[in-house]
Amino acid sequence: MRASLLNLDYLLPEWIVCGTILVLILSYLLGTTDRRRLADLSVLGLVTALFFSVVTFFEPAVVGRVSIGNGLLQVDPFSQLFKILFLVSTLAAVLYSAGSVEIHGKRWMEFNCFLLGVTSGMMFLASSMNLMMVYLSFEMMSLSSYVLAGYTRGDPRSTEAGYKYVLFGAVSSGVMLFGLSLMYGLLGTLDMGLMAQRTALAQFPDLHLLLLPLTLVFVGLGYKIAFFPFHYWAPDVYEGSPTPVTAFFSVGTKAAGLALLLRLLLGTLSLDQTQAIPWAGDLLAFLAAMTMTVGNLAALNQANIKRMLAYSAIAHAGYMLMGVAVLNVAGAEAVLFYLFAYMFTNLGAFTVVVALFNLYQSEQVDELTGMGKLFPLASVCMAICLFSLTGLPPTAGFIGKFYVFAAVIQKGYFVLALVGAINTAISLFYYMRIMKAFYFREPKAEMLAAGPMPCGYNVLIASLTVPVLIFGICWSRLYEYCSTSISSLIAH
Amino acid sequence: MHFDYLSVLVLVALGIGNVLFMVALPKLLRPSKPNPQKLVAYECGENPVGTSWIQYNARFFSVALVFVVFDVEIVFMFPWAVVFKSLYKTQGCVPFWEMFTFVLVLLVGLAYLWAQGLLEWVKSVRKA
Repeated sequence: MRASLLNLDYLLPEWIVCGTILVLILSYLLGTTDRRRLADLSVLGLVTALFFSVVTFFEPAVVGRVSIGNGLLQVDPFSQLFKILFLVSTLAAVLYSAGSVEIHGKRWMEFNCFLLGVTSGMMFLASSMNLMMVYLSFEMMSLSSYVLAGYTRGDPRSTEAGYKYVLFGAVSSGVMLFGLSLMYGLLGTLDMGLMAQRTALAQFPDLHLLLLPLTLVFVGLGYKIAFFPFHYWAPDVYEGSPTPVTAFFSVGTKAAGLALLLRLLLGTLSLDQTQAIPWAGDLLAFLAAMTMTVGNLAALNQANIKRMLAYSAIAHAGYMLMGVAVLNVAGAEAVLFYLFAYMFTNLGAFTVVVALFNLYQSEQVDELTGMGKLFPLASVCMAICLFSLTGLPPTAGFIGKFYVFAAVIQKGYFVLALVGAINTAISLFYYMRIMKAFYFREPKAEMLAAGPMPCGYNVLIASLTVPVLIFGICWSRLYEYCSTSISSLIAH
Repeated sequence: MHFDYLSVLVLVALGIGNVLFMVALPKLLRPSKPNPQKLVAYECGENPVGTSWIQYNARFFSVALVFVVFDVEIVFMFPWAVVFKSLYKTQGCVPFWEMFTFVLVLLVGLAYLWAQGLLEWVKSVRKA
């Protein structure tokens, strides 16, 4: 492990994202108010950061884990893979918002700065190796995302979303902080690298004691990822926020929460220790089953696509938690793969929702009928994304689900696997309801008047859908990267 | 068991017990003769004016926020300034540029506030 105070060059992606915020503000002050120009700037920044994340992912020093700032941060393939994920979803959100009618022109720059603020918080979170840093970056991510949720000030739904997000968020992050403090009290260190060693010591009384702090931390994370007992905010917030933000929340912040959860469960304690914590696996398995059941059942009757996708996002959090619950390497790899598949799929589906909202100002399934005739390309892509969300071959969602279920069955959680399978069947129903409206019903007369879909959206939709198909057919390379990341994460 | 934490438990018990004792004791000892003068809320010796449920100017909050930002900046700069000489000997200009970056970020924020007209007490009414 390369250790020194300054290895700051390895944080280049973070620097670039933070720098982009400054550049955006400065160029706004210097008179660039044009949305296109500002969008170009932030896309440029994000793509450069993405490039450097990919480069550092493959760097041999990073594979050996680079410690930064006296162990506050650590750059390893795990963190870099998550940074790639965050950057891609931010990139999508920036591109959505560039053409969105929901975010008004003048304040677009501020919107973008908050978006990049969330991203930088998430990126630091993925690298954090110290509980203090964990909390700081967690709050950095949360505070900006509260603002994003309530961004359209005039809209009461958006204000409600922001308000709910703040209230739930403040409480759960307080609970999480309490859990972190208990962890510090138990182990006498904030450094996550040292924790495994401390718990291995002979005088460490009992792994039972870790159950309480870990549960409390889980509350904070469960809120971000929208797990079962902490999911109440999700539908309202997802429905009320501007659609680009919803898309971003359903992928980005969820991934950030999972990054921390995986690092805590597999990275700080050794695997034997995590598995030795009584009830941990069973509890997680129970929550996973409840999360997906609640999400799927509630999604069945939704008329609003955004709200439906919100509940589906809760259900998907359940599938991912299934992979975490097995508490082994195979499960964690499956979760990472699933996240990637889910990211492309969900962002692709949301692009269609954003594009249609821009044209019709409507998100109701019953109003968006006959889209298959009006927008063939977008509808085909939507179909592929929905198939992938359900988990049908040959899409990335299928492969992701396959790996998760394989890990669960190998571990012997047959009931959990059964619940998962039933849930997949349930989810097919509501995803296909959208398809039915798109393809088997005639477009309404007033819908015909809207102009063609802007070319940019078509390109975006296609470029998010193509990876869904590619990773559904040749996925081994991506899975290999996921394995590399997980093996760099596991505490030795 | 873990008697290391027994002292914490004792402290908590003492804390709660102390409060209960302090409230209960005067209740038993003092005569109860309330009058309107006595029941008035204590505001540092002044006579209270009106209720506390009035509307404040929202500008107080934004100005207070800006103030806190620069207040915190000083908290960070002060220790830095104290050890700067010895840092300079060991690490050269790096600490200087670190603080420079920090202040630069805050200055950009200040410039943005200024441009938005948030530093004026009476914000001109503009069309959003």
